Amino acid sequence: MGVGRAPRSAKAARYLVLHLPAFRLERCGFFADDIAALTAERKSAVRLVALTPAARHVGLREGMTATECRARVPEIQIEPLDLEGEAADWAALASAYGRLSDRVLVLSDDDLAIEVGGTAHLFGGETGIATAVRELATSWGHYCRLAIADDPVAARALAVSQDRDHIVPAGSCAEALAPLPMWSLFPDESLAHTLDALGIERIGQWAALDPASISGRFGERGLRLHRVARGQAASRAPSVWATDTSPIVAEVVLGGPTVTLAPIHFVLPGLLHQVVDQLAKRDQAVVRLVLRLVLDSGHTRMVSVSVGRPTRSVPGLERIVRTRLENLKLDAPVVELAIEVEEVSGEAGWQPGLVDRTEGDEALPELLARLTDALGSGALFAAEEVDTWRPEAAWKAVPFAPDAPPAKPERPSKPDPVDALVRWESTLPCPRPTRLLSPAEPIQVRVQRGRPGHIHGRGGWERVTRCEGPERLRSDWWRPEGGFDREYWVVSTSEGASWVYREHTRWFRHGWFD
Amino acid sequence: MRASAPSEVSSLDALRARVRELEGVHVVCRRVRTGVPTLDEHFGGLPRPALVEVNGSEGSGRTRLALALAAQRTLAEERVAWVDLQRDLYPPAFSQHGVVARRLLLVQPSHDRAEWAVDQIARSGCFPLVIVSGMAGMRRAGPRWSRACELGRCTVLLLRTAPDRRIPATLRLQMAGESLVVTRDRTGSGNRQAPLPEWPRAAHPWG
Repeated sequence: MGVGRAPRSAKAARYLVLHLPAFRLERCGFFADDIAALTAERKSAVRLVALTPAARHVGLREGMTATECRARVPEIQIEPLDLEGEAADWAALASAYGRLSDRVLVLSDDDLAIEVGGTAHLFGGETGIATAVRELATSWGHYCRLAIADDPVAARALAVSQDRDHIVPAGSCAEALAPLPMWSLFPDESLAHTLDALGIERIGQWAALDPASISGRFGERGLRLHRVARGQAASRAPSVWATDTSPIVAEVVLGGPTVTLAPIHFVLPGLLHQVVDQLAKRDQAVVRLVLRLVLDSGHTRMVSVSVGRPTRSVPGLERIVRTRLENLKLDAPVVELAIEVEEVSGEAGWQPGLVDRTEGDEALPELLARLTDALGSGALFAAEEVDTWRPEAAWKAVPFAPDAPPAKPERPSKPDPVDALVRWESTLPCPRPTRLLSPAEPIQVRVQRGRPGHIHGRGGWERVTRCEGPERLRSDWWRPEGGFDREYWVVSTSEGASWVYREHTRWFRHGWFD
Repeated sequence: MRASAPSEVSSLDALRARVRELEGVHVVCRRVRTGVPTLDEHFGGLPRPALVEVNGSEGSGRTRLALALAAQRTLAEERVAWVDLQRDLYPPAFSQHGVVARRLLLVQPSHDRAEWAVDQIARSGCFPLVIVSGMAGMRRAGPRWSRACELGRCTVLLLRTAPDRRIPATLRLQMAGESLVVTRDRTGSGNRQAPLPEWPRAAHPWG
């Protein structure tokens, strides 16, 4: 009956990055001393995209056209670049490394990342697993360099920029990275340009900058690279590991058929821990899961549970699932329970943030998740105004984000007369009712001197005691479904103030100033 | 039978107090200033945690009162939840009343899930003000909501058409023209009447 919790990994993650600088040439059977190149169509011509060292030695360069290249070096061997074949070969290589670790990912055209923190001890430590990785690459005919570090970005920087293998002891990344050139962190183009202008060439110089000044200037990507440079494992593990795509399921056969929730509540935390552990290994968070209840009658009941916000919190998930189960009516006793993750997010899951204060109150996301699950996603929202003249379409539902910064209105570079007119119109008193009737309620109106004089309401004819208007709203005439042309009035009777309009010859009550 | 009724009530109150004591929740209901001048000046604010019932017909100004309260709370960077069963709230009026719309959560549950939804929102502690409109029959939700208010330290404002004695409201208000009249007040504060909050200039039906 009981469910044991899967052992949680206590080892810190360590990343091995295997750099194969000539992979695409080597897979075609070319060696360093062959005069060979790969070509692809670029800028309306077939050009060289990869070269062996021997081809470089005879003066060929990337970007040359194949015709020019053949004219210069007639004996050159040329193969067209085959991206599909290359991807298949990378996948095969990643699969081969699957025996060393369950987390293998092709990082780029030249690099493969392997998480070795959990499996290095099986090969006699990190040196042993590095040797195993190198031997496998060599046996496949590839020249390689590799590095092991606390962070995949740091390991990649070491592997691509040095001519030897490098195993950085845990916690010593900053010292190892300091002398390396900045390009080895692969900053994006704008960051690279800025750093170049500032004269920052080495990672050590970058790490010496004040962290407080990084975020505002260089954004999240810059901050992440800065943390890597400072030896803080900041770059999250790759979200999709190549060999780990199996469905995430945890299941248990109950001790006997149960009609009460108590036995299910008992096994629930264990099942959720199993699910969360599997998610943690993939660095994913659950968005939606399915409870599969196998009934004594042989039927299976599936219950979909939306989490609302990606999470890996077992207590949070437990509360949501419990709430969902409490409202469930079953036809027969339950004999088996399974939890299957139906939708995941690449994020590591919600955590209270140090910087982002919107995440400060954990109760709110959980509450929203519970309500969304029980009431449906359309039942909870915030409202945002829409720029349209049609009153019933003047707002839309948006996700509730109370602490998000307000959207800044766009400012035109030059004063626009239409905008000026719209701004002026918006300053005019055009009150909107607090409650809008949908659809508008047909009413009878007696018009006196061009204005509503009496309204036939719920209690018969009511005298209009006050009347303001008209506010003429006319729009959407260009749409195929037709437009509208209404004269709105604010009228007050003994029932209260309401918003009425005349369209053609008919009158409607559209809302209440409640 | 009549003579024993008060003692039963007091016994029940004592029992409830004992249960709360055992649960370790010590809640004191007090008036909290709302930022709406007429309410603060005449009533000293609204009780919190508490159920506050506002009764009046359509067009009587209940929604205006609720929007005035929501505006003050959202301007103070607090969140407000509005459980709207009538589904006819018109958000373009929010900004005219000064409400920061992104801090106002609108909830439109089905009628059979509404009581549960209000209970969950009130007890969560995420919303200092919860407004409920359009709920007709409340069955036995009142006492549960009252407890939820205490747990969540919030004020639940019930906008209703007619008063319901089964609702254990701390404060019951009746719309009367352009005034608010207190018909029940368990906190025993002074004034019995206050003018309705004025329409904000942008939202005033008469411009």
